[in-house]
Amino acid sequence: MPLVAERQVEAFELFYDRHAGAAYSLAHRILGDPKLAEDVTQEAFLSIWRSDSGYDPARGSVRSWALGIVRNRAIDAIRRATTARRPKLELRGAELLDRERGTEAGPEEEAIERETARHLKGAVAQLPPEQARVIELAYYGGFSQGEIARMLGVPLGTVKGRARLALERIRALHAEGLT
Amino acid sequence: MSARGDHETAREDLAAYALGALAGDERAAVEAHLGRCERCRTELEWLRPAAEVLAISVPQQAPPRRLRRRTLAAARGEARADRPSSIRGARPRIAVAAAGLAAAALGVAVAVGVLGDDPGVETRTVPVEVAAAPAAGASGELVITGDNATLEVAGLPELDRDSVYQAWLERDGELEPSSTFIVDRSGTGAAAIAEVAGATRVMVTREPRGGSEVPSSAPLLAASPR
Repeated sequence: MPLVAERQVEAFELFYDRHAGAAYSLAHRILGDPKLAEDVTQEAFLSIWRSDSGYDPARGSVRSWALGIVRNRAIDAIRRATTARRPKLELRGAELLDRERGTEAGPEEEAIERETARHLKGAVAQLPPEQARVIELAYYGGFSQGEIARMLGVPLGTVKGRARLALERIRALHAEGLT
Repeated sequence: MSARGDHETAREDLAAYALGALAGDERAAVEAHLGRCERCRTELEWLRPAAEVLAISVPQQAPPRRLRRRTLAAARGEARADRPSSIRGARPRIAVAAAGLAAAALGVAVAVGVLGDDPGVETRTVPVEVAAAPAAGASGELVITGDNATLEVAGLPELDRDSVYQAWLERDGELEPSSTFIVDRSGTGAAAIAEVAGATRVMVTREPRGGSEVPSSAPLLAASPR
């Protein structure tokens, strides 16, 4: 392999080692399935390797860029896997809402690295329930704000308002080191 | 819609945009507005870190070892494959930001070599026009800052895994290959275009994955940077 290509592979290994944990964890959280999470993480890293997904430093850190790609690919995977999209996705929406209501302690959670789990209790858990619901469906569920308004039976403007309040609150909690 | 109405609508949608929760047409409208509204860009920059918190505040799980093997083996295989060197050079590449332990100690082992930001340089925007039927309904902007530009497109057909869109620069009657990019499922995509100064046209074609050294199809989109 030419030296330049060799150096690129080495750089990519470093990049993988630095971000794969967070990437896989996010994919797992969205997909709820270790095998799918693995496939999506690989797909995301290879798209970064191929530079199909351009990084713009004006739009945040390398990590948030990489995790953004993982998140979008995970959401795409959900949609691909759901043949009769709307009804099944709405079922999935109900599942997500159940999860957020506190039925969390499954065997998968035992694999959580304890220290990290203690540190990151989950930004969503610290939100008022109506905001948490919107964040759960929007960020981890991949629903559009219009879909969320229909699912929750509230006006679109309410969903917009809750999304903004939620992000503002997470931003404030994060600034205080509470997430 | 009036500029003010346009601003209010985009501003209300910024949180959902940061969350990735806009439908394709809403997202395109917000992105178009962001291109011309500094207040909204600033506000988005303020909101964006919250979305990053959502990405990292999930139960942390160790990825399986085979995922590392699989992913790195695939990358190595592609590095060995013969791909046009000029394209590789033109595209933003992951590069080692700084050698050795100093960088590792800082935890900044990797950066991506891309266009820098220079607040002192004027930015201007030129429209991207449809040049061929497969791109009918597409739109876009070429945002030029100094010698570099960002090509932002919406409404392009989504590609299969073996294809990419590629930008080209026409300079002195010759075509130079530039960045490759793909679009998401809503048809939206962006590419950084280096060394746009002096180019008479920027064009977009569809190419096999990895890009080409000469276009293999007629231009789908075109913009005139001058």
